[in-house]
Amino acid sequence: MSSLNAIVPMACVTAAAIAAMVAEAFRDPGERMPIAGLGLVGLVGAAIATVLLWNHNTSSFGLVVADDFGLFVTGILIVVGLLSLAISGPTIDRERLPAGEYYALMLFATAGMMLMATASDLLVIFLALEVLSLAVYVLTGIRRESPAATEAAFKYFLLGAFSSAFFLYGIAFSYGLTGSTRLDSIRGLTASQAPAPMQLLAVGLVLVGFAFKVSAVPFHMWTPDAYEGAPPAVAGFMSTGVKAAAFAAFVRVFLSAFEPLRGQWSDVLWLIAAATMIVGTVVGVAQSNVKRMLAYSSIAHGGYLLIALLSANDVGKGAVLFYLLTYAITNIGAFGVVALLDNASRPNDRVADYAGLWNDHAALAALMTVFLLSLGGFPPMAGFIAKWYVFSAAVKAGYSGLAIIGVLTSVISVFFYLRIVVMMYMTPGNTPAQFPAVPKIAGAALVVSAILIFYLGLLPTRVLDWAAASISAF
Amino acid sequence: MMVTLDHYLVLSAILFSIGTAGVFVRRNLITILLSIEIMLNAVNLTFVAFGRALGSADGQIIVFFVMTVAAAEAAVGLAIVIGLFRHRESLNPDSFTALKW
Repeated sequence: MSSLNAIVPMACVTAAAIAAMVAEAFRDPGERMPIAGLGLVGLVGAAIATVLLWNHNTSSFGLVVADDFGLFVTGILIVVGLLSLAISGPTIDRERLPAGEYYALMLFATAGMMLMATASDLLVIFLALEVLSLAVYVLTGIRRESPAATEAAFKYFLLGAFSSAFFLYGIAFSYGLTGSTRLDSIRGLTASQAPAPMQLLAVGLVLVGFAFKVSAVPFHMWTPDAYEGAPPAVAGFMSTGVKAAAFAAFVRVFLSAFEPLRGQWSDVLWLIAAATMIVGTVVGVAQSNVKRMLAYSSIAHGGYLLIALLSANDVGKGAVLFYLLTYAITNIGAFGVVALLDNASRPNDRVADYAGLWNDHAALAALMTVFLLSLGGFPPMAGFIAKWYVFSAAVKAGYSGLAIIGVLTSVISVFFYLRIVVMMYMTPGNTPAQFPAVPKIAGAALVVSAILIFYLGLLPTRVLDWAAASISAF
Repeated sequence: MMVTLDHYLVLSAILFSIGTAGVFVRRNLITILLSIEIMLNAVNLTFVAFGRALGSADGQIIVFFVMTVAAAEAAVGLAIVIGLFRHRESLNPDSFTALKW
């Protein structure tokens, strides 16, 4: 049994997902079932397992390692899952979505993300990537009667499948050269040989696959379309969970298996990081739809995470984890507000729709302000500390150029975050009472994320210590 | 003539390129899905060829996983295509214009 311990967190979530599917099958039409409660049970079980496994460095069959790095990301994914469950309720009721299918897909995707964060074998990373992607493709298009949602799902599916073919081709070359798909064996063999052209090809193809998943420029085209077409609660889930899982695997593969080839991939990653920050910010300024704006903002945040990955000194590796945590809480909060303003007749997702929100929903406006300022990196919010650590890691590692680009794009990005804040407080609303009432659970989830943002911003030491302690694995 | 590892690798590279080109060039959603399948099968050929060259069965076992994933992907992909067709009565990607930056 002991060798199965490392997969317990994802097993809990998978069991909850299967239970949700079975519950949906036995549900009479119109009957209400507390299916989200099953997800809650599964995620709490995963959280308990994560705490118990902490510091034990368990490994299952050499394919899945529950080291502290993987467990920290698992923790982030549990937070993402809980917040997503909480903000999904109103969307499901309003759009009359099949609750069991929705929650089952969300939980399967979460299980895939956890597997991806803890996998230590390229093939298992590929399988986890597919488990999470297939579930998220369907979630994107779950509003079947909406042409935009179906179109978004297809674009996301097409580019996702295309990129996973590249990823797999990279794994094939890596396997051909080293005879193994295990990350540690690949590292041992690449360290002992001179870099062969085929090895560089393998690294390049795997890099393309990851860049698609973390929506790095120039592989970001699907992101705004998918986030705009998906229900806002799903967009929040995608933009945080998929990114956290993909970055965890990205860091693990590039800092363990492909670390000996660092000299070859670091320049390429430098260019990708710079382009990602610049394109995400500059195109984000031109958006008039809040969901597309948040999509470009999430692209830009991917660029900051790439800086942290590239400057992989001790500060940098801890910074990846801390940044992922604050970004996940903040971004899911922002999409949560968008989800709560969505009503059956109109999505209320243009920047102009936020005019006068302060008068109609003072609490939502205040929460949105916290989330946007944290995304922009204002002190005392968590986003400031996270960016501070990333940029100081970059300067220490000798990437001052990237740090400067990062600071400049952060300043520009403040413009489009503040545009919404100005809209909410200083522009009179056109029609009163156009926003739906806020359900209790979803509202409470948003308040909790806002509290966490202030906690991480004001007292980050404890979590930073955990993040720093958990990266010693590499 | 001896068929060596290089022959297999060149063949699979050609197949992969055909698939990649098909995704960009073809103007029918079903053909685009088939192009992605060609890419995945080119990768499968690479795995089998490497497995044989290395004298290990791993390469062939990996192919089973990839085939399963490809089948699941095709199921989801075709379902989405049917959903799209119901909205637009067309399989031409140029007719899908609800989302634009």
